[in-house]
Amino acid sequence: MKKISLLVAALAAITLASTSLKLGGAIYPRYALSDKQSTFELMGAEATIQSQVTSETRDIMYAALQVYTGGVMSGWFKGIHFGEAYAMFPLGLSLPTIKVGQAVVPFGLLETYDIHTQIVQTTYARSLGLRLDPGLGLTGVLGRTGYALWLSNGNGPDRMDNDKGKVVTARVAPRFLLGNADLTFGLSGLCGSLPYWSIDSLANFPKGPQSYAVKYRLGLDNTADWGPLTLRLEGVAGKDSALSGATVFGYYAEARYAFVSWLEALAKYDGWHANGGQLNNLSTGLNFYPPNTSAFEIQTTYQIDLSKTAAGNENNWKFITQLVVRI
Amino acid sequence: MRTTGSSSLSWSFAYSVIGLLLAASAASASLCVWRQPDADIAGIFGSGSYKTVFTDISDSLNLKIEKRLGFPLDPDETQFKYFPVFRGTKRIGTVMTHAGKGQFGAIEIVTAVVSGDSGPVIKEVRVQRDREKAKAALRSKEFLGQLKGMSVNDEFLISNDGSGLRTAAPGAEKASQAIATAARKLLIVYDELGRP
Repeated sequence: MKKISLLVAALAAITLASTSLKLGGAIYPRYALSDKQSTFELMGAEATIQSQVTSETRDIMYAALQVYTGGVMSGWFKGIHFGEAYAMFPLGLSLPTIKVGQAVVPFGLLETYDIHTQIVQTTYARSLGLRLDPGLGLTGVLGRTGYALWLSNGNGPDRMDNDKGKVVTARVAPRFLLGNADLTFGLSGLCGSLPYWSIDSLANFPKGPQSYAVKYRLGLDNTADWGPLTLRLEGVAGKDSALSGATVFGYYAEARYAFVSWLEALAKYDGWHANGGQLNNLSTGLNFYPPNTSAFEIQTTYQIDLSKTAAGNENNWKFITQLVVRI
Repeated sequence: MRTTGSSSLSWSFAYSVIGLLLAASAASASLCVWRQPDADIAGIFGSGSYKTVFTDISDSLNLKIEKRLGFPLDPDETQFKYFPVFRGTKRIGTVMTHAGKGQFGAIEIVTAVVSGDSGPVIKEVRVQRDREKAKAALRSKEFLGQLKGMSVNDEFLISNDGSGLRTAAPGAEKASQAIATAARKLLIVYDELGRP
């Protein structure tokens, strides 16, 4: 009840303060078949509220709220995908925009790839342990180069900052056209206290972080639109606990090919290597985008998970089809 | 992945329905983002500031726009947005964005409009994202430059066989027409909105 009251109060405050208000939402029903079970679930439903405050000649503030309204996602998984709540204050043309609130950590592909609507996921969960984190930062574009700087508490979404650990994330990403390829190259760095799971305890990921560790991460990413082919690549390397500790690393490669405007094939392979083992995922699928509307799409994916840890080797497969309905 | 109990799930569904009904009252799924406003304003107008304005398309306005276009708007095109551009306090133009229908997916265009002698005219059209094969040709001055100065009364037919007044980008006939059609649609919407 208290949560609903807060939501209503926030909505009322935004409505009164804004010069324009845009409401939206999405639902994500999903069917999954694996070697263990078959399920049909509403993974999540969200309402989004975007507010704009403008003066006579320029935007002054933009705010966005993403409210989880229902579904079966719970625990840390829910915190990864839902709960954006931030405000942006543009300082002017060619100047940075100040961003404050609970937002996506601008590391690697996360900065430009809205992964929360997708079945396939990049390496952030294993590498960083979170996607959304409350903080304060700057973002902008200088010429052809995008940049982002984000200082956050490192505890994750909807949690109090009850430790002294903070996280600094920075990314620069030039974008340019080379022949018929639209290329973006990103360089990211991150340092600070973040949720930690050893590779053989990632099964407990949904329960949320049981411990925190200082993480150092360096990432390179690339997004290439080359005709109907879109490539997304990411490589991450780093250390946990101390710079003298063992190296951890991960990689992500995704290719999408549009046969026509409404049908796309997808393949991706990723891996995460840490002290004690490695985790890999291979996914292939087809996505359907109905003509003349962006209101819904259908994603299908066949996935194989491979894990080699101290607990043994394990291979699992699953088939997932997800409907994304946008309002 | 953990699931919640049936009781909390039913409440969740109730919240979903309330939330989505609330959203349905004023939502539109098709709005195209403006990805690089700083670079576009600097490149098109030299300098300036901008603000974002959302506008709903009423049923009567929808009919007028469709009649002038000659084809229906998409079902989710119930809202448009435009960006008045200022230098100091003086209005120097308007920018609009739209996702046209290319051969391999959406083609996001940025269209800058200024006041002409007999109505709004295109100052510049840019492509901000697409999945077409001939990207460079579609972004070339030879192709996009043909749209400069065009008004709502002009012919936007593009071809490479001489049947259109403008020439398609080599290797991208369908995408060329999609860009021209999207620019024309924005001009007509802007005109029907009363050139705000």
